This record gives sequence, C-alpha cells and structure tokens, in this order.
Amino acid sequence: MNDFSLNRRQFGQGMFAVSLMGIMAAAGCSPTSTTGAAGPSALTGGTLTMGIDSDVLLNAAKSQSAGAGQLFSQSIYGTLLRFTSDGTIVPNLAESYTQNADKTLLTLKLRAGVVFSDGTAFDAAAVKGSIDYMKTASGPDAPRAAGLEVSAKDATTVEIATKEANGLLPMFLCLSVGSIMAPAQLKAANIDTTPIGAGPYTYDATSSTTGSSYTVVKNPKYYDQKQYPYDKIVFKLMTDVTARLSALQTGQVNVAPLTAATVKAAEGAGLTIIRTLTNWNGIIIGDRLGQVVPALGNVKVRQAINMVFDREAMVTSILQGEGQVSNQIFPPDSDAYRADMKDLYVYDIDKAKALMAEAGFADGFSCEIPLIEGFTTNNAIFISQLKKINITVTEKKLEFAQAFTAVLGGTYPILPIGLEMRTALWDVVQSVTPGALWNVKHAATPELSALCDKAQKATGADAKAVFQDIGKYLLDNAWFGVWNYANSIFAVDKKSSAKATPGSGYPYLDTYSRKA
Amino acid sequence: MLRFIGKRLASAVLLMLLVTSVVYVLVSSNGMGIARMLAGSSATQQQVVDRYYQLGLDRPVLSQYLAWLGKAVRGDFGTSYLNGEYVTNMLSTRAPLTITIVSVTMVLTMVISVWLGITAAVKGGWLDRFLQVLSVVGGAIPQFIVAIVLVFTFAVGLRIFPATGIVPPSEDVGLWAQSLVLPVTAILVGTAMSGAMQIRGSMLVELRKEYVATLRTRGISEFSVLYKHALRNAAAPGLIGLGILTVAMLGGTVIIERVFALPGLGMLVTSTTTTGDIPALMGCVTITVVIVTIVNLLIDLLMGILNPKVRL
Repeated sequence: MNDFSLNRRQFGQGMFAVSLMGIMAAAGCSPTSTTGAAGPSALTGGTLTMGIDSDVLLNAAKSQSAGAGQLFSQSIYGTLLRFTSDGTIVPNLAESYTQNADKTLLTLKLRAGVVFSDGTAFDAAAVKGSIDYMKTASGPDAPRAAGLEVSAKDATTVEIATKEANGLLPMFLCLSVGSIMAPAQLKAANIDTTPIGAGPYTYDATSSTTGSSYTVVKNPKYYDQKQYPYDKIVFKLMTDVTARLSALQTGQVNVAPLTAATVKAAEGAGLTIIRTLTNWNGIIIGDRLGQVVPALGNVKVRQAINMVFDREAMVTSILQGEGQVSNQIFPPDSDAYRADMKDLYVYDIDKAKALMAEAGFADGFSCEIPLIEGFTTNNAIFISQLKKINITVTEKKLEFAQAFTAVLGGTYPILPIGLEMRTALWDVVQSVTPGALWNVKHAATPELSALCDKAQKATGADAKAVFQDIGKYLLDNAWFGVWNYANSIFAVDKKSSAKATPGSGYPYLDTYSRKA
Repeated sequence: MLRFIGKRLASAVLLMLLVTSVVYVLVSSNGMGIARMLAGSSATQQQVVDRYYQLGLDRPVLSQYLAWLGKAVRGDFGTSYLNGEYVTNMLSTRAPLTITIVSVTMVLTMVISVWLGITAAVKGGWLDRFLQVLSVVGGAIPQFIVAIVLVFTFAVGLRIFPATGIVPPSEDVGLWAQSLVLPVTAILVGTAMSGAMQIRGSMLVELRKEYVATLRTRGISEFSVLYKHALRNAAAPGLIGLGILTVAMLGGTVIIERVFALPGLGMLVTSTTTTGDIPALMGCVTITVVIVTIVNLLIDLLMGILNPKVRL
C-alpha cells in the first residue's frame, strides 16, 4: 500500500431482491439467518462498511491487483481462480484448472450455470473477450495479460497458452486478469462506468458517489451465496488515516486499514488488529553490475552497504515495532527464504569499512537517489548510514509524474524502496529475472538466469531447492539491501471478524463475517 | 453600475483564460510521465507510448489547450482519464459540498468578525487583548490540528457530531447540518479570528475620526454610530480581507476534506493532480476560478454599494 478499479440479469427478480435488501438495511434489520458449518460465518445479512485508503475503479481491466482496488473488483467480477486464506490457489468461477509440465498451457474448465449479473452466460467466449480486452486497456495488469493467447475450445473450456513458461499464470487468474468483464460491458459506450461481472455482488450506482463511496449489493445469482455473508458492502474512501481511525472508533465503518502510528489508539478502542507481512523495506542495488557506478559492481561494496543498517533500531524507530528484521526480499514462509542466512550482514560499521577497503573503495564514492514525495520515505536514514563508509548520497527531487519513468528506466543505481511480497516465484519474477520490473538495469548472470528459468517450471521439492538456491545467490551477492518486513495493519470492529490473507494488506472479502 | 459589473466580468474572463492556460501548460508538459502514471508501474514502455498517443499527449500543448478550451466553453470538460466519468458529473457531485462549506464559513466569518472586531475596538481593555491573543493562536494552529482536536473531542469523545462524511440534505437536513459543524468550525477558528482583527483595526481608525465625534455630539445613538456610519467606512478593508480569506478557505478545504473524508473539490484536486488526470484537473481549476471570480465580484459589488467612488 505504498503508492497509488471497476454490473445485471433477470431484472424483475434482481430488483425485487435488491429492493428488499435496501428496505431491510434501512430498517436496521438484525441478521436474517444463520448458515451452517459450510459458511465462513455464523451470521448473514446486513452491511459491511469498509474504510479504504485509495480510490477504486469500475473497470476490472484497469483495476489494481492489490489493496482496496482488488477487493472492490473481486466483489463485482469475482475471479476465475482464487486464493484461500492460507494462500493456496483454488478454482472459483472456473470449476477446475490444469497446467502442463512446461507451464506453457493452462486449461480452465468453467463452472456450469454461472451467469453475469445481466443474465448472459459466463462462457469461454466471454473469458477470451475479457482477457483480450485487458491486453489493450492500459491497466496495471495489462503486462500480465500481454503474452497470453486465449482460445475458447468449447462453451466451458478455455485454453491459455504462453510462448514462454509462466508458472505465475494461476496467480494472475486470481488477480485482475481473472476478473472477467461481461461482453455487454465490453461493448458499452462507456466501458469504465458500466460494470457487469459474475462476482458475488453487483454495483449499486444510485447509492454510490465515485471518488467517495461505492456500494455493492449481493448478486442473487452468484454461484456460492454462502461464501459472502453480507447483503451489502459499502467502500468509503478515506485517504487520511486519522479519518479511518475516528470512523472506526465511532462505528461509521466496520473495518479499515490503519498504520503503525494508529495501532495503539485502535487497540485501546477495542478494535481487533490483523497484521500481515506484505512488504519488505530496504534498497534495490540496481546497478549491481557496476555499469553506472563501478564500485557497485564489486560484491564487497554491496555487502558493506548491507552492514551499515541497524535493522533492530529501524524496526523500533521507523516501523514503531510493527515489523520484523530481515535481510531478504522473501517472506519467512517463502520457499526462497534462507533461515540459515538470516544473520548475514548484521550491523557492523567496522567490518563494512574493512570490506570497502578490501574492495579498494576506502574513500567511498558518490551516487544519486530519487526523492519522490509520498513514495521515498527512508532516504534520510539511508544517506546518513552510507556516509559512515564514505559513500556520499545526494537526492534528486522528482515530480510524481516523472518518477516511474526515471526509476524503472534504471536512472538511479540504488533505490530505497518498499516492495510487496507474495510467493517465491512472484517475488523472483517481480524483482530478480533479467526482465523483472524492479531489476531496473536488467542485470543478469548465467547462474542466476538458469535458476530463474528452472523456477518457472519446477514443482514440489524441486521448486523448493531452486528457490533456496536463488535466495542464497541473492544474499551472497548482495543484490538487495533488505532492512525489514513491514506489517500491513487492518482494524476490525467488535461486530465483525476477518482473517488475514497472505500477501494482501486487506483481508479478502470471503474471510469477513458478522459477529453481531 | 452595469458598466462596473461589465468591467469586472471582462477581467474575470481574462483571469480565467490566464489561469487555465498556465495550469494546462504546467500539467501537460510531462505527457510521457502522465502516460506512465496512467498505464501503471508495471506497463511496458510500448504500452506507455501507446497510451501517450491514445490520449493525444503528443500534440503541441497549445493545440491541446485550444481543443480543451473549445469544448469547455460549450460545457464539455471531457471524461476522466482514470475512471471514464464525465468531468461535469464529477464536478456536480463534489462542488456543492465545497461551496456549502466555504459559503457557511464565509457568512459565519463575517458575522463573528464584525461582532468580535467591533466589540474589541469599542470595549478595549482585557477583552481586546484576549481577542488579540486568540487571533494569534487561531492563526498559528494549523487547520488539520484544529480538525483532529475537534474530531477526538466532539466525535470520538462526546459523540455529539459525526467523525467523518456528509449526509445529503435530501436525506436528512438535521444530520446534514450536524455533519457540517466540525469541518466548518475547523476552518472558522482561523478565519474568524483573522477577520475580527481586520475589522478591529479598521474600526479603531474610523472611531478616531472627527465625524464620529460629531455624530455622537449630535445625539446619534451609539448603535447607529457604530453599525451605520463607522462600520460602513471600516468595511472596505474587511471585505478585501474576506475575499482573500475565501481563496485561502478553498485551499484549506483540501486538508479539511481529507481529515473528515468529505467528497468535495479539495479531494478531487488532490487525486487528479497526483494521477495526472488532466481533464478532471482542468475541470477543478475552472470551477475554482469561477468560484473565486464570483466571490470577488460580490465583494466588488458590495464595495461599490458601500462606497460609490469604487465604481469609478
């Protein structure tokens, strides 16, 4: 959540149901029924009001694959596959899926009888149309859809082929790529404001104000009603954390993301705090081959840089205790996490100086880092600590609009940053492979590239072994300078409950339930 | 008077052209950066370039501005780059709230300023000194601190007013008024104190003039001397100050709307600026200039009524 998404059927029946829900909600009805053990909650009905920290879009293809945008998109569109609360991938709007050993072909069998909220069939042609649209929609997930060749084999069978191995494809189908927009929406005059999906809820435009409050009401035709207990969900945009906290304390919202600075006040008010490790904080040593700053091509210099940070103190002071010390870009439960190397690069200025001297850079060197308002928050400590080994770091102030192009274009040799963590393969593809977005200089070595290629296809114990090798390589060669994992903090009031979802600061919608 | 209004309207049109053109040039000068922001951090360079051309950001800025202006004068501000919504719709759902907050605050500022300012000027003594201290404190404390203190005291603590959000007046007028109390008060603390000091200063100058003594010796009531004669002459600087305060209030709503999670223009300006949503941002700029122009026109008219020499 460091930085900066978007439905119809047998009209009469749907409208009756929606109206009934509205009347009941207005009357402040208490729970209408109870579900059995099959449901995720004991109580159903009512409204969940969620404070959200960033705006959402009605067009699934332009929606964020994280945070509030992802939750909102999932509520209207659902996804072909989905994550369970323990992080495993299971079928959802698709009944089953298989992927070949080469990870170049994924076959989906769609669930029979599923329809979009406008009553049209949720079939293979619709899936193909939606994913093909996503390729051209310029949304954040367009690059993930770009290499996918989708074909509708029959009404309920979809094949997705890729030229190269893509072990992440099932994960993509849990995110925006798997949120399918109805053919009617794709043909609509304004595709961005006419959401039609097959998700558990439908968008209630009359009760919503874009940029402020978004209301979704239960889709009576959703295939699994028990999964989602609430009749209505209201997403209220509250960009200020103080506003979210006061809204939680006064019962205006039931759940909302908070920050480390507001945790104590929230706990004091009796709110339940859900903590999820979603991000690592530290630096990307992008110029790890020394193309711009030759000193950074020397592994001893990169190792020295890793030793100048007092990680414990940073967790205490910067994260206010809401995090864990780490030196790795992978979370502790990741296949790539090296528990045996967690104490590599402990804080030791003398040893760092010695390494700099051994590398022939005792007098240090200079480099520039970007200063992006609201994005780069740890520059000051980075600059002061590197000064201790004679590395002079200057800041270049960037306007937000210029920032992405400059940063991702590899302009800066080192980048203080916080990046999300998901699965081992996700993290490798995001930050390590030669073409990775955050491998900003596209650095590659034959050894690491071979390991990354293997990681795409490996399964089971083989995968674990490959990822362990990648984790070791990155630590030995100090490609990054990780300081800690930061907790994403999510508060839940006494009337509600939710379960942490690995990799997401917002618990997924199917984990929420009513307690009162 | 019509000629006076005509002159003011003509200068308002010029002001609008100047402001919108300068803002357009500033925000459009980094077209590729905007395309990158809209395409997302994970977009390939080719996708960014495609978005750049798709939005017409490759055209000369003057050509883009004239195209925008040609549609804007017909009331067509285009659609948001981000969510595809008509900008006129975005503005029509957000502007009323901001205008309401600013209008209510402005009226209360006028009433409180005049009352406090005259009281301080006439009574003097400890009351005057107390008001002076209050004005310094009111002006020195940032609005967001005032807002947070108000929320934690009257919403979270005493549960008298809602902590965030606004209830539409069509739904419940009472709740609507309640939800305006804290945001308006948060702005009012600074503006009323500043306005009161302005009126106090002007009144002190007027009360020392000979005509006031003459009026008093002729047995004119003190109320009439203060409110009919002295205030009329002291109003001009106060009105100018109020105009400046109104512009400052519009800026202040950015913070207040954020703290109270209010869907007004301030929030829209913030989001459109950070996302490079040029059509929506230009819509915000235009309506802000219109509001400022109307306020200034009203103040000019009031000044013209109070002092006919201003109309010359």
